[in-house]
Amino acid sequence: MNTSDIKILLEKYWDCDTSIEEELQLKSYFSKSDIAPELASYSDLFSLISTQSTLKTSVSLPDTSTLEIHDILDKYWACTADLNEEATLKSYFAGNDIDKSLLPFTDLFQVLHSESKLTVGNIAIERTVEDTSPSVSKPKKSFSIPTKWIAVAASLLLVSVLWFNTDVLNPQSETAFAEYAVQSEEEALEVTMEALAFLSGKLDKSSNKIKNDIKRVSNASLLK
Amino acid sequence: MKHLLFIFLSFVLTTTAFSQGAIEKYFSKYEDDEKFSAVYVSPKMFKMAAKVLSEQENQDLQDVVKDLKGLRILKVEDPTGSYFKEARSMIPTDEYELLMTARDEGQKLHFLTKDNNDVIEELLLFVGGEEFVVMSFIGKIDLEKIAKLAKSLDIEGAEHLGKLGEKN
Repeated sequence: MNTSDIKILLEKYWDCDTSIEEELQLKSYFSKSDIAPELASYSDLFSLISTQSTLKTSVSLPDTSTLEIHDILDKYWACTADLNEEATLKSYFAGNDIDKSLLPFTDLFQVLHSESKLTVGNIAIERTVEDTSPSVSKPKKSFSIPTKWIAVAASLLLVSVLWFNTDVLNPQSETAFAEYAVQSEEEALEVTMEALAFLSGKLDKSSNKIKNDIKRVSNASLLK
Repeated sequence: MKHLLFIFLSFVLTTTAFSQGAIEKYFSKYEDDEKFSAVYVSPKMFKMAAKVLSEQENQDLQDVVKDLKGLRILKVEDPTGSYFKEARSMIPTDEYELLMTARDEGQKLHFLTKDNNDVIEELLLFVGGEEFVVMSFIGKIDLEKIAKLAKSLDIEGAEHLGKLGEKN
């Protein structure tokens, strides 16, 4: 690369228009010993930039997964983490690659992880995300009337039926129709005889009339 | 389920009880009505009357009265026939069976019976016309014996009910 090309790149560099490749070309040029005299004044600047670019940063920023774990932890302490996020925390702290900032929580989540593995005899029961899903069946809605209320209702019903139908259950009750009941046996006999006479007269007459009607119909020439 | 069955049985019991009391309710409705003449002969009075009757010679009458346990009669002027219609409409047809209907001298006659194992336990007689009369005979009713009484008593017709008016 000749001096004029370097000058053009430098112009672009000052205007912040250079690409990374072009900056690398500038660094490469100024790192060499055969620098054109008119460009020697920039040699120190680019050698400094080149040196700084090789320095390792002493402060390491947390990577994406660590930040994500911090976010989930915040939700965990606020009790808003869902089951999948809790599983993520458990699996993270169960591993070996734990960020220093998260090391204080390692023991806690390892205890939780071990407690989730229950052993009954020889059968190991491991709670999984599916296992921890709400498995409690909803209580059946049932409508039941307390027995004592049924007893009260039955008693009231029975009393009301008896109250309104006393004369039905005991049609010959002397209290019913007492106001117009006959008061002596002679009077009772007289009324009964009159009623029976009336009834028997009408009954006899009506039945005879029916018999005669039947006889007349049976004797009708139309039916013969 | 048991609760539902209990409620259903209670309902049936209640409705049955009320339907059984239809004729009683009808008598109760008009017993205090001044327009009506009413008579009630209780079972106790029938027993006493039967003793008095035993001293007489009419065996047919004795045979009928000894089986009777109650008698109720209502009588009222009914030129429009409204009382007759009302009373007939109140009688449950599933409980009382129509024995016969007849027309005699301008009167409508309806005979109804309430039976139990072919034994008539109650006989209702509705008479419609210028006067409305309803009679309820309770006891063991023998229709043949009652029909015989027409000759032995030698009385006939509605004129013999005239004394009912003197009761009220």
